Amino acid sequence: MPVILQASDGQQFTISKPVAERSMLLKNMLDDVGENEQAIPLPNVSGPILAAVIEYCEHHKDEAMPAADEDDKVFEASKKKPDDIDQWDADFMKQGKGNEELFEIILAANYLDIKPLLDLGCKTVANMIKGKTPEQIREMFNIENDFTPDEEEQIRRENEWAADA
Amino acid sequence: MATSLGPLLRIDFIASAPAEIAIRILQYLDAKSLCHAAQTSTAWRKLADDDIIWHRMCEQHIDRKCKKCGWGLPLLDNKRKGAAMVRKRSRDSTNSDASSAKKRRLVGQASSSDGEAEAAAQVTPATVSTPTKAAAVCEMIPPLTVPSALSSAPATSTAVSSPRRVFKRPWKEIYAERLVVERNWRSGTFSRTELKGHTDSVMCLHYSECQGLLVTGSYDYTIRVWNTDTMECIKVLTGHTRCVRGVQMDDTKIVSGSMDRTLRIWNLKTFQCIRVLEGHAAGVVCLHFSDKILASGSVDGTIRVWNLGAGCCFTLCGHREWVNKVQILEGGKRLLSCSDDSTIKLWDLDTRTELRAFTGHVGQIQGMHAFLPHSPPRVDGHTLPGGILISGSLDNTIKIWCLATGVEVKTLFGHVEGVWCAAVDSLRIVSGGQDRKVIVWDIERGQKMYELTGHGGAVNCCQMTDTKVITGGEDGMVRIWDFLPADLFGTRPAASSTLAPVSGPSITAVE
Amino acid sequence: MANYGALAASDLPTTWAQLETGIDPIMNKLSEGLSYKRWMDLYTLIYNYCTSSRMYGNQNDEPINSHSSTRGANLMGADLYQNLKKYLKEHLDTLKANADAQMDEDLLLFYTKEWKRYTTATAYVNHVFAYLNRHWVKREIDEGHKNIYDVYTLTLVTWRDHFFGGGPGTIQPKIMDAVLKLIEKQRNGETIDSTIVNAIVDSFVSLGLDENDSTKPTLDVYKQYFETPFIAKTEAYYKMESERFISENTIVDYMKKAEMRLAEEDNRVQMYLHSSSQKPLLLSCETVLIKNHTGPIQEEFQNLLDQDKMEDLSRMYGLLSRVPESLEKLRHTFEVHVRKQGLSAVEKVAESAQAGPAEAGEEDEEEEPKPKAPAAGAPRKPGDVDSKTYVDALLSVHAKYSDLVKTAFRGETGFEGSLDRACREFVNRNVVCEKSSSKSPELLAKHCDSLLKKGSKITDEHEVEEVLNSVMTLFKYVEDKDVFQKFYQKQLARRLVNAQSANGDTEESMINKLKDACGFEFTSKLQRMFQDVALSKDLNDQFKEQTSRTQDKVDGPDFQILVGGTGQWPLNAPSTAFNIPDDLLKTYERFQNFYQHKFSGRKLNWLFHLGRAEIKANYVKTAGKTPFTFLTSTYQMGVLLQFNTATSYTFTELATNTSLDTPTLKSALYGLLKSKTVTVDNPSKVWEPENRWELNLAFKSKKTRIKVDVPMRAEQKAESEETHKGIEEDRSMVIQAAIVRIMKTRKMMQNQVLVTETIEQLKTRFKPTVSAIKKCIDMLLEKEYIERMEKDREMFAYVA
Repeated sequence: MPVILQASDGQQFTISKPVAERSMLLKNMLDDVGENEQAIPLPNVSGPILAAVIEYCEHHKDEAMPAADEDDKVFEASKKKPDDIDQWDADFMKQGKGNEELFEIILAANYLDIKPLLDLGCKTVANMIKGKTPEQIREMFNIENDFTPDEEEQIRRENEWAADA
Repeated sequence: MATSLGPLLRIDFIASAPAEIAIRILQYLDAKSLCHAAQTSTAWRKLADDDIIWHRMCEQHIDRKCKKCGWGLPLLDNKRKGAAMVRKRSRDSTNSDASSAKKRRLVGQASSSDGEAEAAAQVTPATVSTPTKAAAVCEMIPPLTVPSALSSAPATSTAVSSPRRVFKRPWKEIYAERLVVERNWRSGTFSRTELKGHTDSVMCLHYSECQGLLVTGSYDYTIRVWNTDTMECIKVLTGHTRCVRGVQMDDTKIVSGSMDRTLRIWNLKTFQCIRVLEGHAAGVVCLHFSDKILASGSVDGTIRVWNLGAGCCFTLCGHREWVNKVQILEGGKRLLSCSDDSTIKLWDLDTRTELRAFTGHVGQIQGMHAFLPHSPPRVDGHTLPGGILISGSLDNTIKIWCLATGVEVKTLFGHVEGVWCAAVDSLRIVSGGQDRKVIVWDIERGQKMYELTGHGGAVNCCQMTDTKVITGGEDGMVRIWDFLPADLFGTRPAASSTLAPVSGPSITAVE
Repeated sequence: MANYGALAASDLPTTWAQLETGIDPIMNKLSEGLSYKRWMDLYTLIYNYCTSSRMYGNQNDEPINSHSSTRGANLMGADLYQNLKKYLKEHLDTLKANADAQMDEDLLLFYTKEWKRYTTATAYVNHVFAYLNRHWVKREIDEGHKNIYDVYTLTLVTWRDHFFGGGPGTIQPKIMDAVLKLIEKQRNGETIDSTIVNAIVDSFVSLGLDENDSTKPTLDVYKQYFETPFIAKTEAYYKMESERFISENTIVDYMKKAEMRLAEEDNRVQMYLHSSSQKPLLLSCETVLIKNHTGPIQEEFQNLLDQDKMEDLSRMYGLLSRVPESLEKLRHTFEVHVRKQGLSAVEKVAESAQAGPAEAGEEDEEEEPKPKAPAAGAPRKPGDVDSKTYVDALLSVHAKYSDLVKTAFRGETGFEGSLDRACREFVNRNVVCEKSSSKSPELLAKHCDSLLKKGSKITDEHEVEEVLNSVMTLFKYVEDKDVFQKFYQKQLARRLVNAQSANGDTEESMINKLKDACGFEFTSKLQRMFQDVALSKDLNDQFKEQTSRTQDKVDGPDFQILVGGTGQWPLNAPSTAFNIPDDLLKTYERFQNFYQHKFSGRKLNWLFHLGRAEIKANYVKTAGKTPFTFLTSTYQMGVLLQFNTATSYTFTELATNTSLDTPTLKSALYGLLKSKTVTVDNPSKVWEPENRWELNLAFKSKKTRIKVDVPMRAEQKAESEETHKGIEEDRSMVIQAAIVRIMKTRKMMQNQVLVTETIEQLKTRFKPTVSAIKKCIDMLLEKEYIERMEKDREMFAYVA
């Protein structure tokens, strides 16, 4: 039986159950409430973002679900090759998606409990931070430096050990 | 990808996302990036210094090689266990307390809502009672079978099961400390101390990091006991009538072996000689004990295995010449021995038979050390699942063997004269030779890293800990090469420059 | 940016008020169903609250160097968690109030219904709170905080601590009370709805949660609140029942009852208890039902044995084997019983042997009327029992009780041991063996001989095999195995010499059995005897061929010889001289030469007393005109051939001509006289030296082949005694050899230790007496193989 999702802006999407169940949230709810013809309201996800998320889930619908409890192991496994992002996934994150869209996809993945997508989003952001100086990071993320000069010096020293030897 | 997105992306992800998402992002960063992130703003700092993130960093790196970055960090465990013991022995080193106080002020000691913890914190400020996962430093790290060259296994196990009042330090600080030590090891940055006292060649030594004690044996017939906190000689033990060739201590006793054919057991508190073991028909060259089992090798090629509890003894025959080193394995089940006959033998102490001979050296084997880490070491792409054995010979080479199979894995060339001593841990090998050099080798690549020079004669004996190399020489000197920086986090304004060797640069970089 | 959709994040009171309104229907009216929207609204409420940290959090105000409870990030959720906890408590308070009014089965029904409702509902709640679980709870647990659980576990913990047990007014004691009453009803034979108990047990098990890791279930709650009182109750119930029942009924009935009750309790575990209870429950039942009544049950054992009540014996074993230490007494009783049965069986055999002669003769030769046979009615000595009757009696006792051990006692090794000990006793020490323990092996060997000999009543090969197997079961118990060996060897020799062996394969199989039982050494001589027989066949063929080739071919008699090695054949040299008759002398000499040529250095000793001959009598004719053939011993042949020269001789003349000594000659003449081949002048003074012996020219017989070789009875008797005497001598040698062997390896030994060691070494062959060993030690001292130590006279030293 197909599942109807309704985004915050009222846009509806009809998808198959296996695609919907990539989201642990939807899976649990479908288990609890049972299937019916009502649309499922997702008040925290907008239509365009939901469309992107569904695209991701469609692509991955046949993969094994990561076990819910094995957060640490999944973490370890992903950590093993941290920069190794599947080509399709990399393209998915890149394709015309602006910063805001990326951010909202991460939030949506978190809301819908789609772990692989959440990890993909977080990894993508992490890769942007990697290898940058504090100043570059501020620049990139538009961060305001709210330290006093004294604080800044103290924190610099505190973290000095990590600088290249 | 980052570069393509960079200019477009001006949202402060970390500050605007829920904290759980921010942490998830930061978990994918390396240590250096995390430290940079911590310097950007107050909000970022709070998240980038998150204890759970750093706990994971430690789990990945300490005492193992991280699969991601290839870095492994030393355990620095013995030192910590030792701190409590030293206090107990009421030989307080004001140093360590002062430094931990400093650290506390710097990073902010964790305060707990738990009332008991507050109380505890007043008595001994460095401890809190909440045995949280994040604080259980010792528990995270599995006990080692052979933590360092000669220290005995029981010391490790007691420390692991010690009460839950453990020193809670931020995991970031723990990571940082180990990283700095590892960097010093890699770059050859250390401070050197010389212990003067023996009037003739130093032939053997044993350092107990837990107790802050070092014992040395010499051609001058004496044994000296040194306090390594104060670097003073606190006792000279006399009694042997010829050169002392082997020493080892544990919590209660020192055992020494001499060319006068005897072994002596000394009370570590009173320094009285409490027992003399006679039986060897020729001089005693080496010894090693583990709990109640004591092995000693002799000039006549025999090895005696003494059971100090049951008071009995048996002899292993097989070597044709001097037995230069013995090492008990697996708590007394096996024994390794090396000899002037150019072989190393592995013995089964239950059946009292020879299990294997390691052949390949063409000169007398003077130094030998086996190490059984919990994660199998890798050498030149070979994994050594059953542990690693190294040997140094008068043929000027050091060989690396697979302890489980007896296969020779690699030969290290670098000494220009005979090798007298060698030690190994999960990351490195250190060796000393007739050429007056101490060489530090990288175990994974099987290559020389650099030389430590300073001895005025042959280097007769050496030991390595997570932070130190201790050597004894023909010149009668004991040298301690300490890779632990005196000051870690830049508490003093010029902190970074003090990382340079205290007693002047004496490093020859070899790459 | 943080504001999404309709459900904007709000502060705690607003959020919780909305949540509570949503959770209430789930907890109380789930059956009315839930819409996607309601469910999603609840989840989103929690999500929005937890992710609203940037709006309501206060972390930006903190000074740089101070941290709250943990170093690093602060997650939102603690408030929701606490509110939920409070909500659950209140919810359960209402439930508790409702439960107070209920009793017994109603209470159980109430509890199980509410439990099901609660757990189903809280599973929904857990899903709705998934966001809290995923982040806030997980981090709390990661940081090592105690008493923080995922929401589902929290609902269970709250149920356990607030409703079920722990505090005052909780309902667990009442529940258990009701459950125990229900089970007691069932034990009393009433039908109950066991699904209720099953549901209660499931609930108790689910409430077991490991405080340190809530994902790991434990059985603590079930053990403490269910199993312990349940087992205590069970014990009390059966204590009362068993004591009453045993005082009113027989033990046999009681055992049936106990067996049934144990099966019932075992079944109860399958039906509705947790499987881990099986062991403790049955253990306590066994204690109350069996262990506490071990004494009376054990006492019944002898009665059941006496009456051969297999089924009851089997039941008793089944019960008492659950209390293993109680079996020891049975084993002992059983051993004594079997021994008694064995002894009395032997006594019966001995009595009937005294009462009259055995129904079947044990030797073919005895079919002839016996000279000087004991008069009828005269008491026969117990030792004269028939070997077959004796062996059969022993076997039947063994078979009966071996079967009992196998079936009733399930082949338990302890009882096997008792049976073995009892059998060993009655086989070696019974009334027949009174004089000498070596009687059993002798009779056993004799029995074998009668089975293996031509003319045995049993001819079917398989049947013989079976009987021999049963002989081997007895042989296992025989202590003096060397005696058996001696007799067996002697009888085998006789069978082979006289070509009386019925079947070569059977002989071989028996020897293999002995070899399996006692080792190669035990049978090596027997095997070499068979080899000698085979070699002799070849030898005869070769000799015949050579004879036919040689020039001085004469019409010598047909000649067959058996050459055996002295070592393996238990045969004595002839006690008498013998003049080889002229007719045979040539053949004798030719064979002698032939043999010496073939095996120079070997010496042939001719055992004429074992030889047999066939003589054709040309002087009398049968009716069919074929001459009679006399089957004689070699000596008789020597005598008969004298009559070719003359037809009458005095005894003295015969003695002189044959050179036979008087007893041998008498024995030879006895057979000739019996068969009427010869006659005497004066029958009243047969053995007078001057009495004349004449060839009976008027010999008549219906047979054409007449057996003349009949030994006198006294000879057989002597043979048995001789064998026994031989055994004594052999044993002395064997003991001495054993002592020397021991002393050689130990060099020095204390007297007592040496004796023990010697017995130990020899026990597979026979059981030497201490006095025999002492005697042997003395002999060795004398021969100076060993010597007494100067300092300690009880110590011996080996003299090299």
